[in-house]
Amino acid sequence: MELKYRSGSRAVDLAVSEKDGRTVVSIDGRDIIVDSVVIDERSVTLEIAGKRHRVLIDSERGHVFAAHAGQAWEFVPAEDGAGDGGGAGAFESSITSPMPGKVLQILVNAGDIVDADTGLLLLEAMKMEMTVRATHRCRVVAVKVEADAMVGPGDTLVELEEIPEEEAE
Amino acid sequence: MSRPIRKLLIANRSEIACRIAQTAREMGIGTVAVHSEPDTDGEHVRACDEAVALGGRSSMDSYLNIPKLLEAARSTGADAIHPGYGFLAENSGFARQVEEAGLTFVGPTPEAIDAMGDKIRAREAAAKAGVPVLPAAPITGDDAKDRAAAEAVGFPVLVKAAAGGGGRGMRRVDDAASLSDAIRSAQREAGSAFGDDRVYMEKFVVGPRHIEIQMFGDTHGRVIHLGERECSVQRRHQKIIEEAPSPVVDAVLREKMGAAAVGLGTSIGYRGAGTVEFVSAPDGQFYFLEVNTRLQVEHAVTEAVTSTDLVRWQLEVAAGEHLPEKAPSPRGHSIECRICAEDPANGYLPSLGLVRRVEHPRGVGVRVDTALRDGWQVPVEYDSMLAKVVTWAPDRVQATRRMIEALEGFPIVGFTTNIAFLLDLLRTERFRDAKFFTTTLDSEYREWKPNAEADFDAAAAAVALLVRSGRTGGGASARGAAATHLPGPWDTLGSWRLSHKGT
Repeated sequence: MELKYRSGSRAVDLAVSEKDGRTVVSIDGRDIIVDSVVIDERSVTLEIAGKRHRVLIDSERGHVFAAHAGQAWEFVPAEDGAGDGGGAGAFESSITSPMPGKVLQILVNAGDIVDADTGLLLLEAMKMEMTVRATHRCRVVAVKVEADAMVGPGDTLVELEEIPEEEAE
Repeated sequence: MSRPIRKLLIANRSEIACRIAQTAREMGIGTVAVHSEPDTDGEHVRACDEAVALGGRSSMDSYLNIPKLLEAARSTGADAIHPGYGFLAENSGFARQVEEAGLTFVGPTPEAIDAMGDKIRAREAAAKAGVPVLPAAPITGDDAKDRAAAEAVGFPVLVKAAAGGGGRGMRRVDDAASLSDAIRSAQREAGSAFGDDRVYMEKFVVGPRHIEIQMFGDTHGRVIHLGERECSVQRRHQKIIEEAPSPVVDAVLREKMGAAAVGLGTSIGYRGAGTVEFVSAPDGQFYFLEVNTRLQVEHAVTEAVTSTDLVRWQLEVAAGEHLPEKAPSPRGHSIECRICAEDPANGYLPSLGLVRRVEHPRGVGVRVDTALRDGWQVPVEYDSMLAKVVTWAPDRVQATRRMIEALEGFPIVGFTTNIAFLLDLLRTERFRDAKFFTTTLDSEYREWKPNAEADFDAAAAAVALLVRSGRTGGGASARGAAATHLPGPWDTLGSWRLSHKGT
């Protein structure tokens, strides 16, 4: 059984097999022998190399969320990835939200030409304000959010396009 | 004058509101929660006997809205208000209006809040009470004069906002060339953060440690102290690990610092819980920093080592009761870690969302103050602190081990927190040897990344085995964001075991 996921920016290929009566999980081609497993509604407890790990788990629409040893991961099915980002290359680039938060203020309009480091909008989360900036000189095609809107990490905020060289001169 | 409290309105939210409610319930005092829209189903609402919806999403419309809070107290018949920490806890206008409404404010007098809220005035009061202060100078705005003043104080200097707080309006300046820019940017920041752009300069201590004394005053003129806390593990002036006692304070120094705090508290007729903060230099000399006129986030480590309940003390003092003559001496060691909704591996940016599942640490010597629960959507409007984990043990080594175990046993499914970062810090030799300065995290942990590949493997293997078992489900959304998970028979009956051990 093979599974393809992404976790953050990392591709994760998983496979489960039985070898010599033992459960083997292959993670990106590395075989991990799992000596025991208990699965319940909330968690998966497994023993690897003599150490017991209890991983708290949730899953929704094929996404699997896990937390363990102070860290948390989201495993996104790899096929979901292609559909993300909307537009499928309709725009040359977009700026996505680096964090969950609230849009405080929009600083640009569609059609504006902005330089690198120009503030595009202000986000706020947990009393921390953050200016989302252009990474290079470009034209604002569309602002995809409104002031006071709540955004999640990875949500598209602003669509941008390169400025043809002759125009940029 | 004795004035018993019958019903307490808690003008706060989240873990501190829950914590205050617990003590009030123990004392037989009725409790009233207030809440904003995002907190309608907040844990603190469930922790109190009654709840009043303040409406609004922002703090300004809810927890900072004085007329709404006073109206909530009136409509529920509350006779006292506890402000918690943050929000209106150090707002003298609020304290004054509460008392003018004929209610008891669980905190210091408005005059004491004002006197300590202005750092320049607080510094003068401290110096007058014989508390050691650092060389300082006013800032005039005249570049040449300010430069001469800074040279007289001696670089490096710290430009600080008079209204101060949370490190805003504060700049370290190492040489005369960067002084005027630093002054102007500190003024700007202070002006926008506090509506008060007055700044001054003070000598900057190289290798600073943050050590603070918990003081307490009653309405009969008695002020006592409960020893110190060390809070040197800070990021951008935000404490993340605190402990009591300080590894660098012995009984003699404790009495000296405690006497300084009590002297200051007595001189201003201090009432209730307060904290006198000091910066301590590598040579062991300590200097006045500021006074926080409220219960601190980190009060729990003092409670652990002195076997006290400081919220109970606050409520008793507010009701006119006497403090004991002397607080218990510290026993054992206690550490607190602040669990925050931020991702240290991603520039410490806010990281929050739906708490899909959570399990809290438990066991001997472990205390968890939190409002986290399964299905809770963490609001973006408020502070990033999700929980406080506090351990106690007979000594620091054991308290540290207990903390590591506790944090390992605090899985939060749904988003990244700073727990892995805290675990990493606790395991360092630097922490073991108590060699953190308040500047250490900012200079040496800017680019932190988790390095536990084995932990990732365990999580990935768990995911693979879960999917293979076919036991994936509708997730937290299907269970309903408001649903709280109560362990029932199906949790255990549903388990299946696969063991190949010994084959």
